[in-house]
Amino acid sequence: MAEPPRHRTSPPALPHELVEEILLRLPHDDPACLLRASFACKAWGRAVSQPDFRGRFIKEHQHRPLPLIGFLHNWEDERVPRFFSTIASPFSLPAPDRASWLALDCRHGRALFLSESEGSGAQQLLVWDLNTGVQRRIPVPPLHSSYVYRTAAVLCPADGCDHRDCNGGPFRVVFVFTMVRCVLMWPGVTSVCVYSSETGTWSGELGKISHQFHALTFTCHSSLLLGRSLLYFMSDGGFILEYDLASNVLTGFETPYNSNKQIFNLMVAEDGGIGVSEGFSSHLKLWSREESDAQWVLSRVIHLQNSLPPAALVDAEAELMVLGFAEGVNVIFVNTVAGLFTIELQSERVKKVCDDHGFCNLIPVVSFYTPVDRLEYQDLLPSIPSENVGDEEGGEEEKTVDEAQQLLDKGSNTIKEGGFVDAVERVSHDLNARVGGHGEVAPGCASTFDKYECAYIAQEVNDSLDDVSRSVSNEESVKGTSSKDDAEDSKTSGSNGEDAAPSSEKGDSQEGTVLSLSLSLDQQCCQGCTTAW
Amino acid sequence: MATREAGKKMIMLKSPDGMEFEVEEAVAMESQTIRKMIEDDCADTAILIPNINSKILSRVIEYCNKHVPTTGATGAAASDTVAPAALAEDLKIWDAEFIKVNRATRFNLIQAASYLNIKGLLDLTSQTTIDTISDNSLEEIRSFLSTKNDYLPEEEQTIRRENQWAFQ
Repeated sequence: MAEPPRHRTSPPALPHELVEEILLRLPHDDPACLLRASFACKAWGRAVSQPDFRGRFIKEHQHRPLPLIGFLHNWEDERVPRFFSTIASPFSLPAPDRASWLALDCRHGRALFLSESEGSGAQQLLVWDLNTGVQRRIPVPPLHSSYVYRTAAVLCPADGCDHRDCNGGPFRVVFVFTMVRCVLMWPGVTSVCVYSSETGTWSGELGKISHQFHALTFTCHSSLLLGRSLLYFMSDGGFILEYDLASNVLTGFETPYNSNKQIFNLMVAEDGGIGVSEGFSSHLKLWSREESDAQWVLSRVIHLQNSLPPAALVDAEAELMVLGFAEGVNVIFVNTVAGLFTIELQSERVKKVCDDHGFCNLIPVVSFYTPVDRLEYQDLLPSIPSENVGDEEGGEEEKTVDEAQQLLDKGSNTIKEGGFVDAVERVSHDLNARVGGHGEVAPGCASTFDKYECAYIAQEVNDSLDDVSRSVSNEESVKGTSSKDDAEDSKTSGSNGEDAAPSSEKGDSQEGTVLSLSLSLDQQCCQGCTTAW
Repeated sequence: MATREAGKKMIMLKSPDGMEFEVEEAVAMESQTIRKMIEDDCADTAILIPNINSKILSRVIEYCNKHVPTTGATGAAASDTVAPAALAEDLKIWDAEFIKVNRATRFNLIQAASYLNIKGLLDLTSQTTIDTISDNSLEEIRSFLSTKNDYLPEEEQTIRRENQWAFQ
């Protein structure tokens, strides 16, 4: 196609407005083309980085679905860039580095990250504008220092928005967290807080449910949005939370059947309702949940013998793992022994994405991308190049593990010395660090869980003694009755949750709904994640 | 000057080099720019098409003649006997032949299609350029589009460093 450039008379350069006309027609699902063209000369660079151009580009492609341009992940495989492009041309986005930030979610032109646990200081959330690269940091809700298991989702709340160009507008972060009180005690409590970018503040606990799992862990799935307001989260054990942003109601239900393996993945069903996919050795089952009677129905089976290459199905014992669902484009990512594939659910078209793969979830990136003038955003952009794969990252990982080990040692010593409150805090933090890096049931976590449990039981005994002595010595300290007040107290008093835990239990019995669920420890189910490490 | 001939309303288009083209109104209205003039009643006399010479204007008219919808009284015979898919295929082949022109002509056609607002022609004439931008290196893009690289060497170096993937 390329005509030999030098042996003919060059025509005059195209007028500026015609260059724009041509650039507008570049493929919307291959943003590398637009970016490469913007490097041709300054005029083109300026032309494509104008907000007006972005608007026209999006309008030009308004009848096409938003493109799937790649995915984010938390895999430790350094060969896979943090943002992995799935488009035809080479393409990259400077995603926040994986040593410091855990990718949680991506929607409406923004990706959401959570800071990895550090020795001190509160955890932060980071909202990353995919198009401009602008990062906005948000402290996690100031509720309680002892929640361990959490996940979050980001979305645009604007009514009537088509979410094609709303990345600079208002957003919400929905933060879901489980309070861990004691491994041996239930019901557990899971709550929701919502952050509004307009006010820059977190709500109090809006939704709350009790469940017979002692805790819901969230390491294997990102959220799913249905319509404008229904957000779904799936715990590693396959318990599904539904949060309605319009009514602030949090409810929960189970997958089609109980399984000790993490095999289900959230998706939008063909009828537009909530669905799950389930992987088998050479086929996928798609389930949908009937709105009328809340029953799961097997809606479709996709046989992949003919569409996946034989190498992907060579191991009959290995089950296909669905690692993600791309909202809006109905594409799922499937992990096989021969690499990672995408499957378009409508056409069942299969495409290989890469040879390398991780075993935990990935977060699809479905968004328009147009180049921006970096100078315009330079005050808001991170100054350090964001992804440094290689030695540096390995070093960071070692540092985290070292730090975790030190905390664990300190915790062990403190238990021996009888300092139970400190021990709970330290070991709890250690759990965070290990869970963040390894998944819940990695071998490294087992001994930590044991110690945590031991410390917590000891603390419970200690607390009851403490409560008695405190009520006698200082009645003024028991002032709040709502769980929110207690939580704030616990934060300001620096006593690490010992005040808040009992009050939170009170809140449960008043507000929460205890669900009848089979008793199984949620975190034991994350088999997929465990095998990754 | 608008005339009537066998029931078809005719429109006169004039190029700046003095050539006049009498075309059916339906054909002329493939151009959204001319359509607006006609609808606004500005087309009683010949319409002057500035900046488009007679050679390019005649090609544009040729394109519009081929692409004017064949529904209604005119051209009914052709569309009655040929399936829409076959017609579309025929048009595609015709388009591919039509666009076999040198770059200078293609650029002039892009300019004309843009001014006259003929989406199909603009899509067709832009496609080669789009393919070039999509599939070729930056140097080839610059050369093909006669674009002068005005980035300073250090600016170019920074771009290459920050976007290595785009230069692989």
